[in-house]
Amino acid sequence: MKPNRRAFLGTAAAASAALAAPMTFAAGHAKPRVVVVGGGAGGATAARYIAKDSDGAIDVTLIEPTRTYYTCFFSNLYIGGIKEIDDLGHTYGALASDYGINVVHDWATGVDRDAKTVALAGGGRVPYDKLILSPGIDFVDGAVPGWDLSAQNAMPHAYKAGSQSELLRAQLRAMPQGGLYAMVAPPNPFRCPPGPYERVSMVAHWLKANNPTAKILIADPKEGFSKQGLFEEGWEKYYGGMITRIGPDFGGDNVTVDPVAMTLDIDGDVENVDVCNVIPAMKAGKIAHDAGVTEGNWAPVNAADMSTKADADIHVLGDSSQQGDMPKSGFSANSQAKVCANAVRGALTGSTVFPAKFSNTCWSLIETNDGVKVGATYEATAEKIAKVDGFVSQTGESAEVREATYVESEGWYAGIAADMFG
Amino acid sequence: MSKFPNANLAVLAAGGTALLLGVAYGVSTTGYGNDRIETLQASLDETRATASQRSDAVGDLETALGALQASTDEQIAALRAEAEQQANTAQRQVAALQTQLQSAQSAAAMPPVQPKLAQDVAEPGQPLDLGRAALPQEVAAWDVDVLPDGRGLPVGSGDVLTGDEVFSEKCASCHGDFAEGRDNWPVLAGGFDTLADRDPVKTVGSYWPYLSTVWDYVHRSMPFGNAGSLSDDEVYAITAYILYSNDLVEEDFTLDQDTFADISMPNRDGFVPDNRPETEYTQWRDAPCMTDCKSGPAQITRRSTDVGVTPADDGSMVESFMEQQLAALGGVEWGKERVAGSVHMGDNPEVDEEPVTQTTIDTPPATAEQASAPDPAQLATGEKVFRRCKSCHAVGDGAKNKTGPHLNDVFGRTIGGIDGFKYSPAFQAASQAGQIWDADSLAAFLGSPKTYLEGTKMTFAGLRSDADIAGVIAYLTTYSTPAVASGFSVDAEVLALAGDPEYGAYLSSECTTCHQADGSSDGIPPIVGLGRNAFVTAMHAYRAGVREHQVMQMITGRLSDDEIAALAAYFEDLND
Repeated sequence: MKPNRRAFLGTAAAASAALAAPMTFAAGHAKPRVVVVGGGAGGATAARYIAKDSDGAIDVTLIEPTRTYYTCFFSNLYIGGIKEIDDLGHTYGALASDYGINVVHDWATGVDRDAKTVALAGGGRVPYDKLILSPGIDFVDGAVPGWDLSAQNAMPHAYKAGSQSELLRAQLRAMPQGGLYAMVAPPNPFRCPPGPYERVSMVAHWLKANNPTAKILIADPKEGFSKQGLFEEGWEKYYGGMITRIGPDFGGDNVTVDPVAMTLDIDGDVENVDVCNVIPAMKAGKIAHDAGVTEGNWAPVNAADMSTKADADIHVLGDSSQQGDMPKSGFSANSQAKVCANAVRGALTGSTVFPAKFSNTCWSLIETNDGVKVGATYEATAEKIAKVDGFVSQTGESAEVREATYVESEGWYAGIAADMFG
Repeated sequence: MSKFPNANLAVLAAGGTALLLGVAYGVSTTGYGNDRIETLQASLDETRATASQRSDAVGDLETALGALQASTDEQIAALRAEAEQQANTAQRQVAALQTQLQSAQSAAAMPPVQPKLAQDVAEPGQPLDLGRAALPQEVAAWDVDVLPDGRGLPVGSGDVLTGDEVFSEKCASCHGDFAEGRDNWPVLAGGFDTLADRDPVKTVGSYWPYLSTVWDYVHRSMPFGNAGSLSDDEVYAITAYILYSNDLVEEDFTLDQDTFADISMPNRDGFVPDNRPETEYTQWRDAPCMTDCKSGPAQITRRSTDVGVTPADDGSMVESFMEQQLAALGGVEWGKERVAGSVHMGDNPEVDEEPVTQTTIDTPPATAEQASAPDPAQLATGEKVFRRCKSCHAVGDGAKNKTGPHLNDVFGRTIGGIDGFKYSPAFQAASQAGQIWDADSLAAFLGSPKTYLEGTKMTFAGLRSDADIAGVIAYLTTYSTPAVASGFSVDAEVLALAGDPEYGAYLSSECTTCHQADGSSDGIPPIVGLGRNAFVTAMHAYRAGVREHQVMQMITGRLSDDEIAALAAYFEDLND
């Protein structure tokens, strides 16, 4: 969805809502209140579904610091030049104007679980009856020696879409002929399992046309990765000789970077790099930790309704949750949000709570019109979200099948964007 | 000037050719084997004899010269010089052959490297003492002509069915699927009994006297722009198909260098020797007028702009003269009559049944049906074979009735069931009887249309190969609701299940991750607006694995009958 007039007006409405919101909440409320922190695939979907299906019976507040949300999904296609940044950007206007959601553009800085309020960076506290946290990911400190957030301009992660994506794309285009693009891939679990490898494909796609003697080096701490056979088949077919992946057997798990000297040290071998895309190990978004619902890096949740093991009134969706078998993806977060919304509505208004059903599909683009996908369905068990059934694209598929898969992914993008933002 | 000296020169030239043959033979036998030496020796003897004959010819010529005393001295001198040159050349060749014989003898121990037969050696075209003789392969490369009795045909064969395929692929884009000719490209079939008409249809069948010309022409010149790309067998097959298109052979006919002789072209005896030089031209022997031939002052009677090939002064193209004339004749388009005539070759299309080409038909019901995935090879076959149907039947987005009805959603359609299409009585009867197109009825019809529906005006003879029939059916399924196409149906009681729309709303949230609730489609088909039965049938077809799609099979795999009914109820509400 591109910003349009209605979206613009909606955003203006949301901005005024943001100013008015804290005072309104302070006055007390008859209606049950749901606060959603994070306006991505999990949060925006949850807010929209609760507002839509409760028909005004629940007061929904969505706290999201950015006014334009750039999706991580398809951001690799932007880096590769197949999509433009505007294709990824979405605003919250329709959620405010069409669904009556209080959209607050601010940072949530803390949760008082006893008082059941969320603190905002701009001051004020927002009370809730049910709190839904969908804050995405943050990076584990010290995961890649030599790199911290202060180095993200020299060595971008581009794993939260927006300015980081633009930076990485600009660095890619500024590479000298025959230069070296390095990627430090993350350890499991991490957001979007095929993401780093789709990114390598898209970088190679751009280099092949514009800088064909350049090389791509991946330092990877993992033995294997998602859709590995499909990616490696495509890399050989389209980008033969351009891409080298160093796995843990050859020191891919022992990496140090120097963002000043622009060097990458893989198990003692120091390489000068022109672009260094560091994707460190990940953990739940900060607010989940601040709320005290995490154990280690992630927030354990109950599969039936995505409520945290630590607090039945706090739900965690998407990447931050530790739920079982589902991959950390936008599709997963969207799917979990609907189960969560159904359960939250049931708890607050007595509406029927239907059994949880989850599903996920991840599409990846290897080269223009060569798309692949992997998907599965899941159900809630007492222990976790458990996989029921699944499929994956096959190697050697015809060009027609691959193109149809890519076209389908574009349809999915339009579909999930409409499902999130209305 | 008398013809006599020229005749003598011709004799000389013929003699020279014989000599050249011998020499070429000698040169070409430098394979150097013992048997070669014998052959060379024989050749040398022969050449000596030829040289001796040449001397005789010189003698004859001198005699002739004696008889030509009335001719000018220059001519005599020229003839003598010519004769002497021939004689000298003959002597040089004798010497050259002797040299070759010696070198052949010296190389006698070597095995023959290039066996040749005397008849493989073609006439050389160069002066005797220059260049080398052409290799047999080189000669063969040029020696491609085929004579009416079949001489020159290479070993090979091709049958009608193969020819049909090759023709469809390589020829039909211009000559039409039935050799009826597209636009102004030549029509190759039909046109019998039109040669005496004012606008005769000259086709291979109606006009060409020799089949050899067809083979030879196709072999050398076709396909247009890609001549030489056809194998000999393909040329045989195409020729066989053209014969079949003209009803000159049966569909099981195979053309090869032997069966070739069995074919007699209908117009074989339609040509007579051209005696006009004797009978007519003599009437016009006056010197042609080249200047001031018209009496009176010059007048402009026509302008080139009239025929639409030159812009008028204002830059526009005026309506062409031909178009004006045609308009005056009632708007007949050139070639149209001709095409229709050949398509309906041997048939009697009832004029009152001519389909209305502009009929607007109901657009197919909006569906979310993506093509199911039949066997790709079968589908490819079907797509290829269907090209032959395309000239009359449209299929796909926006397909309209043409000469034949459109074939969207043909499966499950009542036979003869397109409103507004003028069917033959056979189809009307089938329609009244409520017969339905399904895989079986289509297979029977495609195999032999006139047998299955006697009296159909579809002129197509039918598909002979079961694989082609299966292919076309598979191809057409991709333009039909696949569940229906495959004969899949949902029990009436399952269809009638009343679903819970509230549960459906919850379940639908799984759909709307990809399918947009407002019916928009950006690469994934819409899920709303299908109609309850179509939706339920589609879901069950996915769940049963009858419809292919990885995601949909996975999602429906865990939906119960009641859940599908719930979704249907919800989407039905959404439509209201």
